[in-house]
Amino acid sequence: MKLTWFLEHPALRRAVMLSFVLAFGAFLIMPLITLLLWAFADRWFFPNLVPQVWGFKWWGWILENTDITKAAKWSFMIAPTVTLLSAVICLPAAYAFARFEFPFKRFLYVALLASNAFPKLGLYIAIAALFFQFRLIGTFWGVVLVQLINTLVTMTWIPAAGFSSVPRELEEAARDLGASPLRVFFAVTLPIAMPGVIVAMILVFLGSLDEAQATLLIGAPNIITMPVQMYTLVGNYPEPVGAIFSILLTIPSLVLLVLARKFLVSGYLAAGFK
Amino acid sequence: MSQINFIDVSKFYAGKPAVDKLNLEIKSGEFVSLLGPSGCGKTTSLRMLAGFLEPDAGDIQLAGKSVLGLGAEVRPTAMVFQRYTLFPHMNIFHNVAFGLKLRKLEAQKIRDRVARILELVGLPDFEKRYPAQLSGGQQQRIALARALVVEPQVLLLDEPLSSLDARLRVNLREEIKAIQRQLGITTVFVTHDQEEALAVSDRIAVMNEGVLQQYAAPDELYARPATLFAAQFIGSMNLISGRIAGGWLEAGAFRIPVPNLEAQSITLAVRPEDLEFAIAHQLALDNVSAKLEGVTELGHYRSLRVKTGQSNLTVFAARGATPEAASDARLWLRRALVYAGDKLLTELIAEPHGKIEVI
Repeated sequence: MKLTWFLEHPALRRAVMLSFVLAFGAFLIMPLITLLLWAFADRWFFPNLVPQVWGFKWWGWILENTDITKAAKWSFMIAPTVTLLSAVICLPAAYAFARFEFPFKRFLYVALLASNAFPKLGLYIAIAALFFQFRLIGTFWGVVLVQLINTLVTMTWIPAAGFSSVPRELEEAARDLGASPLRVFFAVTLPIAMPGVIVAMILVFLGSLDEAQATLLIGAPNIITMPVQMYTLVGNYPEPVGAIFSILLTIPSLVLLVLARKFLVSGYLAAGFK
Repeated sequence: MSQINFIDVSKFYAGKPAVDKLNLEIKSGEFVSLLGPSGCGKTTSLRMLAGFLEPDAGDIQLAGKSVLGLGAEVRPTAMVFQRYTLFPHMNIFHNVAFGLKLRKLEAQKIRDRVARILELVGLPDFEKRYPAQLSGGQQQRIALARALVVEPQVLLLDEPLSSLDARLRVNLREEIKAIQRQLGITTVFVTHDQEEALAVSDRIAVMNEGVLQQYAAPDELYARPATLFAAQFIGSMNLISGRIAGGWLEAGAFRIPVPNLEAQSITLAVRPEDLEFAIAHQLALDNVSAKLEGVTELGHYRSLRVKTGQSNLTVFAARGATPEAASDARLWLRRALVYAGDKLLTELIAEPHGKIEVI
């Protein structure tokens, strides 16, 4: 008898598949369930599978904590600023990489990875030393600057792929009909490459919301964002605080993903090029 | 008026000429095809006219004025591309209206002109659809509408039919020709398909390796190709190398008196329809013996593979008019062209039952 005899019975095969799917689902969802349980637990001791006392005690505490609301404010000021600045700096570069030939193009393209090649913490300490001289430590723009460095690869590579997938014929057709190069970019190239740009912007935005190391080093003590605050909360308070905070941090990602769904799954691009 | 002149236009890629000293005059309202195999310089020439490329030497004039240095966006030309023609993120109305909006026309005028041009290309009421919902042929019609709606002086067509299937290609080229005639717009059409060029053009410029081979009307081009390249490229042609000596032309099995021609090496070029293949007694005396090697049915006519002497020739015959593998069959030559080197030397036309000598 073959080792895989059970695969030959349709019912058994379905059962095997189902159990795999369930196992994978559990692997994904169990940590989230634990998180949710902790978030609504006022008291939860070891042998019990669910908390002994449910409640909203820690929610109130967190929402009223001024440190945390201040951190949220900083986070939601820094993330959009970083995203927009990164777009302004990187999108022209992405377009240039996609469309123009210039010396050292391949080298420069790969060199964008340079900041990822070193241990992050070492790099941040070096940057902190530099920023100290320019009085950027503990300032809003200091944090924005250091976070920008992390966004370069994402914001250049993904849109560059998007731009180079736009057929040149379409740009030429627009020019031929009388559009200036700038007009061609905004009316034709950018809209068609938009899914890639949106994806890059989402990744950068979420990355900035999640960034803790560099922000801690450069921003402290004045600029404390939510992930930085998280370190303090997880270290100093009971488990529910960390759980609730994690859930709060998830909300922006979820909202963005729902909003961007149209772009992420859009099939009109490929379908239009017959 | 929108006469076009290419004057000694050259374009080099990596030191090699893609277009070599092109001189071409296209009259106002004329439909001219640039015909040649890929890499012959036809598309490069078209793109220089459109303003996407600048020539390295020479001048391009429109209505007597040089257009060099003007970008594609200011030249009064409009182009239909081979692929990826429509903006996928805009519906048909916005695609067609694109050029009009850039010209800052009033909204009502734009709507009227878009509606009128969609009527002209036979796709009214398509305004709300998106390019992905259209077939390839419909997309090319919309692309044509988008080019024509801005009322350009010159319409440029860069192999717009090559991605379509055969039947549609024939229909659409007839429509394009009809629209062109109706509007009287000067049109330059790039194609590698000689049948397409012959069918629609007023004149055809045959190009090869950047060099203009011949510029003539379709019937002249077919009847008397000026170069050996044009002879091979347009239609099908039997080529037999031979020589002229002592007032006789000898090529393969054919021996023809040519009292006025100098002694030299030549190539005899014969259209398949200028050969007649029949059993001996049906033909006049002057013919050569030949052997039928195969028959291809091509619908309204048959293509015969015939061997005479050392040469394999193609002969077109009417349906049912073929002797089936007759051993004593004969081949009769009605008309032939003689090329010396690459250039056309002379045309030979057989008088009834004359001229051609049997070996």
